[in-house]
Amino acid sequence: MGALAWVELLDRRGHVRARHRIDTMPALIGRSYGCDVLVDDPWISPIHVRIYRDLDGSFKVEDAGSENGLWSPDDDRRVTLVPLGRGVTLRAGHTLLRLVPADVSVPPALAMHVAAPAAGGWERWWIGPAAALVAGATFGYTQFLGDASTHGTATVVGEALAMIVGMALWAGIWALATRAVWHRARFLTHFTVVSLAALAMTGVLHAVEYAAFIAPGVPDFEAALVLLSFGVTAAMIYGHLTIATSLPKLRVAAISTAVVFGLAGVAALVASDEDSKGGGMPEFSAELKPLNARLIPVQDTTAFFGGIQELKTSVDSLAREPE
Amino acid sequence: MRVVGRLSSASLLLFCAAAPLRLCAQDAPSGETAVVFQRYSARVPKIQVLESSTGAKTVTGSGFYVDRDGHLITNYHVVSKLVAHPDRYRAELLDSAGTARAVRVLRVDVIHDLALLSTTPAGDVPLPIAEGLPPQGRRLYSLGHPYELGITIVEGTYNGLMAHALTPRIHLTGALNPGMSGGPTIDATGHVVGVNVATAGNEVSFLVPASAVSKLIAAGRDAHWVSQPELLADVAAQLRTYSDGYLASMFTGDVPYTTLGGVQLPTRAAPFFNCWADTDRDPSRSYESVEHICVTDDQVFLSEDLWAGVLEFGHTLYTTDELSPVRFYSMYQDEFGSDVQFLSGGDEDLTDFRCRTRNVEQGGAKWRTVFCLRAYKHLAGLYDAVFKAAQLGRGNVGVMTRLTLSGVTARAAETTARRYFARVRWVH
Repeated sequence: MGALAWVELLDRRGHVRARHRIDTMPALIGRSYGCDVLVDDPWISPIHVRIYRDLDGSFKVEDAGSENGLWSPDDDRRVTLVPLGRGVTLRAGHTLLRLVPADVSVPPALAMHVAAPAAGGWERWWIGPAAALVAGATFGYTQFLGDASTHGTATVVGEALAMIVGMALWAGIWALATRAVWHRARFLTHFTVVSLAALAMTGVLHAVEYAAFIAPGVPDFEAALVLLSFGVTAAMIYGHLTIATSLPKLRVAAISTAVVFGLAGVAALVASDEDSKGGGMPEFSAELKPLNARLIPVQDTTAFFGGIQELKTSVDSLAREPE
Repeated sequence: MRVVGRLSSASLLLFCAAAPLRLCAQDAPSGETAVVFQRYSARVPKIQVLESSTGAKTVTGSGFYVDRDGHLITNYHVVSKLVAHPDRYRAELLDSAGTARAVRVLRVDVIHDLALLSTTPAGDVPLPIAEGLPPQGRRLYSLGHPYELGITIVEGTYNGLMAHALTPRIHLTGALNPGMSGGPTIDATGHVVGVNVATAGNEVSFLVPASAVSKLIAAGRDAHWVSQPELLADVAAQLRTYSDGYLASMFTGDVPYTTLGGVQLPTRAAPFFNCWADTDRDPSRSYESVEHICVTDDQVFLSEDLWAGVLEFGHTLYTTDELSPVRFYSMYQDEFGSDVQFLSGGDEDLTDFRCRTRNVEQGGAKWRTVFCLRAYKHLAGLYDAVFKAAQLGRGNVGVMTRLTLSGVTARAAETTARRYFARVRWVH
């Protein structure tokens, strides 16, 4: 048989300290051992409160003739009889009582920050390995395309495998961290994230190369490449952190950005260290792509040679720089 | 055989007795060499450049007196450190008596690699400068101080002016060695035919012709004393005039052309270019290349690390039957971006390159072009320039062309590259 109601003893801050089940009506609350709910509070009478079912079937709470009475904590008003309703909180002596009928409904469960670790969406077991295979194969194939020397498939496969192993190691480190937090490694999910990042990086690299080929006059494709690869890195770290922690999305985004800015700072330091003082070989965007000639926008040679004056101004100012 | 030998020496002796001494000298070399050495070696002092603070030798060379007022000639490359860094180096000569005397640089001719020095006169006997060139095959005597071996005489044979040279050089068959630079090569009468300057090994040596020496002496005598910065400015001015001169008419008029992969490209634009071609069909490579290079032998010494006056252009045809266009182009791209040969110098003398890259249309084809320029830090108005172009849009055929100029004015570099590229035409 189910409970009819519950009596909860609360502390001063309203947290539940003890819960008593009421199976029969009427029920008594007090210090007497004959009561249904015993409360160790010297200011409570041996029989202090009585709960009973009224003729209309509703539950009522009444003062059972106590010494110190029954009080409503909200407005500090003395009460003698209150309907139980959806639950009522009263003070008896120095004790807060919350009386709740058993049929009261409770709110639905709060959603956790991380999607339920059910086998669906990105968490399907085969997605990680599949993404890694695609990324490894793409890497191997682009290596093959980017190298005109005659070498066998073994080299290409070897490079692809090395790439996959590298990604697995990376995912493994994140999985260890995740396991420390959640007691579940979620290796395959991390594997998916790093594989997708590798694919995106390859895509970015090629897109920028083609752009630099088509439009060599536009300055700083190198800067665009750096920015985009930092973007991909940030997205990857965001992915890993979302899996490994329960932090809010904004916080995760902030951390990823901070990490990438840190990396960018280190890279800039290293680059400035290598700053050339002169005498080096020419550096220029040498991209050549096998596009159909009709698709390549061109200018005439006069415009090309006309821009050399700018170069002269630029190197003249370099020559004037103090050493 | 022995008899014949004896007979012939006897007849030579007779001939000598009757003939004037000069003729005899050529016909009896071994004895004559000793005479030449005795007469003229004292007129060839050792020149050494010393590091000022320690007094240690940095460069040693040779020189010769050209008058009784303490004027000497040596190579520019012997005293170049002194010209570039007068604060760090000083120079002195060691005369035949072993006495050291300070020398200073009066004037230089950087194009011919000559320097006019002056020292305190001490009754030194000059060598006269020959007028005109001797007949080919004439025996000559090179004097100098090779290594640390003391004054040395080397016999050699005059073999005319170098064919195809931008700046005239005498080809001497004889073994010049380091340290003899700046020393004279004289005929049996002591007339200076040329100044020892370089060797290509195997007894192939080179001299600066005496005419350049006469010009420098004349210019030096007329001119006032110039300070070191003015000397350096003069070096820059000489290079500018020199390069503007040979570039002025280059790739104008009828330029012979060669055809690679259906593209007409300029070749041997002037007689002083040496052009070479080679095919590379390495079976381990999945593509073939044909290279055509034209280069001049004339380089102007500025310092040990820096040579100006490099003039080079070349074309390469790449073809493949094996590679897909994507793989072929990855190789083509690497070749296009590869380092430039033929250029020297470091960050002490030169700025970094600045480049301009575009896709352009020329001669019925589309090209990726790049023009790069860098400036000389201590020689005003001088630059190194590289122009490269790669034909686009042909899938498994690529034609690349390149022009390298060093120690030229920016204006001349631009117009030369412009005229060069205008000669390129796709004829299918």
